[in-house]
Amino acid sequence: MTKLRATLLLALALIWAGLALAADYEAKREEIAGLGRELNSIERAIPEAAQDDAKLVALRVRLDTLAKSLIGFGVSLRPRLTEINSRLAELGSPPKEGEPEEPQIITDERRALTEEKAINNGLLAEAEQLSIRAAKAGDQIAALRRELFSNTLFRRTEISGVFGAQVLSDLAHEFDTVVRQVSARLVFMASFRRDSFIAAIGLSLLLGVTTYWGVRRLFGSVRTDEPEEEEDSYISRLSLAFWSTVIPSLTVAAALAVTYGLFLYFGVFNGQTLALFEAFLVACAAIFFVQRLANALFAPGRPDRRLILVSDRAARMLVMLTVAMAVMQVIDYFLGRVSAIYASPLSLTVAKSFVSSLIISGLLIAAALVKPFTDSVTGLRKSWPGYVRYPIIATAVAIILAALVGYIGLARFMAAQIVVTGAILATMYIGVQSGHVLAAEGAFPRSRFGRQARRWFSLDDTALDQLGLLASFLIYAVVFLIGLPLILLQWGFNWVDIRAWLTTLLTDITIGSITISLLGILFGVVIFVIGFLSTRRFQNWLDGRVMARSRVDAGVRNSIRTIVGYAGIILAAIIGLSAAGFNLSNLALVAGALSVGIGFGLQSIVNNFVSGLILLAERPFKVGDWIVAGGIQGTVRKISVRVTEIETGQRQTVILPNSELINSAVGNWTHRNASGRVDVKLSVAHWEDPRRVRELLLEIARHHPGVLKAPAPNVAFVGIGQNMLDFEVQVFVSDITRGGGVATEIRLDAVDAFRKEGISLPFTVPEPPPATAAKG
Amino acid sequence: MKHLTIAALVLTGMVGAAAAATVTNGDGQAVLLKVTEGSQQSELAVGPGQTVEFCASGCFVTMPNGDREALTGSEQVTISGGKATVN
Repeated sequence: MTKLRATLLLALALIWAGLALAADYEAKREEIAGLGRELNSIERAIPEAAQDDAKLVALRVRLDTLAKSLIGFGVSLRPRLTEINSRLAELGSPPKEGEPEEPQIITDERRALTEEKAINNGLLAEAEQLSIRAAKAGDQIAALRRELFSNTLFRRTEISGVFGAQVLSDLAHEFDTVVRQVSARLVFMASFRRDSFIAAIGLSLLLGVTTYWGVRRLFGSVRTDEPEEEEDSYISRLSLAFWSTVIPSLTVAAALAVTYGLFLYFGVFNGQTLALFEAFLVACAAIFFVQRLANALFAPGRPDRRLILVSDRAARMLVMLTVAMAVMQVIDYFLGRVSAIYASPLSLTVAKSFVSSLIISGLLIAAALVKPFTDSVTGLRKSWPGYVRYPIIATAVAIILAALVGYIGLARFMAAQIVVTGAILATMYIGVQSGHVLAAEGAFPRSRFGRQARRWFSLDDTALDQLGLLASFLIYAVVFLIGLPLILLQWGFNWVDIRAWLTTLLTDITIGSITISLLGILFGVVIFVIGFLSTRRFQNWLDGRVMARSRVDAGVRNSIRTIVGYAGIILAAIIGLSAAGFNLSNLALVAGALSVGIGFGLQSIVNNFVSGLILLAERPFKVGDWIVAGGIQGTVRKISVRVTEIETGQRQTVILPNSELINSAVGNWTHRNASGRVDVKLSVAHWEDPRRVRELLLEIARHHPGVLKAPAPNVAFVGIGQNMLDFEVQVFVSDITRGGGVATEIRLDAVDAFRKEGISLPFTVPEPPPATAAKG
Repeated sequence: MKHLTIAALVLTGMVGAAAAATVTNGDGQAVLLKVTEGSQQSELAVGPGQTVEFCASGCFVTMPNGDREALTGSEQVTISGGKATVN
């Protein structure tokens, strides 16, 4: 009975679960169907968008999202599949022939689970098919965009048909439309929405004034920094050029963006006028940037700031020509936008592009013909070198020819590239140059940043120099990582492609079965450098602020400093390695293999290393101590992990392996305190009265200022030689390292006293005592 | 039914920026996975005991036993006894 009830209950539970399941799968089916509909709509939209690059890019973005959703959908099915699989594993395989029958309920459950698994797999298969279709659609979009690009470039227009009375009237009509619409809008705003209008204009003006003032102020302060040292001037010129281009440009761009936002918010413009306004603001920003850049490169008013060393006259002309080109280009862009906004006839766009291309190539030829250099011998003006001049002229001629033959798209594209790509390349040139200069030996420590780094991290010149090299590599990397995508974007590649390439390039270089991630390695290096620098910083802080103030003695400070330093570097290395994607368990393997080597070859090094750690922890001596070890006597200068440096009295540095200091006896004169006994040996002639001499010497020792009163000095009568009586003056001094001086002074005093008292010093050749001496 | 020796070797770690899924074959014989990445469908052979990286940015995989899985590109797949476990 109970068994029956249990079976029933289980069956009910299964049915209920099955119903819930059905509902669940219904939702999943709905979801995949939705994704399928999205894909259908994208696929349908592709042919319609075939002529519009922006629309194609938008579709591509939708496709990317869809592909992600498909994967996400598949992933969302995983937990259930795992459950099913584990339950199936629990149930085991169905009984074979001859084995006892299993209960019906288990067979049912297995069947239900297998069915559910089939549904699951079916859904995933559907998602997979959709994702293949999506990828194919993405390929199709890419192909269309390439075609579109080459079509716009290489479409030929009949020029003769374009120019005529019709174009002039079209132009007049377009101009009339723009003026009419903008003025109508402004009049409307001024009369009906005065508050908004005034607010937008007022705030924009305020913003403009603030920006202008801010930029002026910022660069006013930079200007007063001069003069710098001679060696620095190129670096500082470069950085000045860079900052005086980038920061004002970004500021102005931000200000213009805010202005646009304000006008949008207050509804000053709408629809076509808003699009016009946007194009106008973009044009302003572009002209500003090119103008700043040209000024930074040629610095017409300031020969000392010039990055490209041309004559003053040429600098002025080049800036003028560059800005003129930019203005021309921007006008072309703006007019193109106007035509697009008002759907003007194609012939008008063609005519405008034709004219602007011709003007830009004219300006280009003029720039190539400028004679920028002065011959140092003859004083005559020299033209650009051939490898600069001829390509420029050739490009300009190519633009003119393309335009004349009718390839307006190509001409326009080339002219635009000359200005835009030229501007990007010029900025990159500044960046690469500064990297190059920074990499030169000894340049970084002298730069302002280098000096700052030295103050902060207390690095020496070599370390700073290496840091400079690293910094220059980083600058190259940043310049190329930002510059190249910008240029590619200009050339009609889109951001999604570039990002995909970059990701592959940076994260996925496969050599055999090893995958190298450049980004990961770079990241690891950066983490290590940060760790290293912060360790230095922490060491300095601990040493200078905490320990110095709490009066920890110099030796302990040094030990702690060293230990913290090593710990920090090891930690930074480990974190850096793991951030770079190295598997630390591999490292353990390597360490295991090395341990055999350590047992044999590296024994002494490891011995010294461990000894060094013991020295730092146990501190039998510390930096500044006067020690005797292995027949060497001197002051400890540095305890590092493998060796200890000792400086002898003759200023010879002796490098002792730490194991010797641990394994053999070390005498430390200044272990607990610096006081010690100095023995001064003295002899007098054998006929002198030893008691008198001892008295005299004691007197001298007691009165010497460097001798401690307690323990009291002592004079020992140590020997009676053939010709002399030997004494030893034993005095205690507070600082044993100054013992030599005290001994010398005692000897001097003794000789003085002996002379005064008429006490003879011994002679190697015995002589009869003088009569006076015998009497005295 | 085949009784295969099970020796799962899961490499812990493999941290880092290189985000690719890995598949480790713990079985005594090579297995074949069907991988669909983008519009490309390919077959990935994994030898006994081998660990292979694949699927850098999301893919669909058909396991040796016919199970299908979607991977985002950061999973570790372990195959033992012809069955796949995704972590």
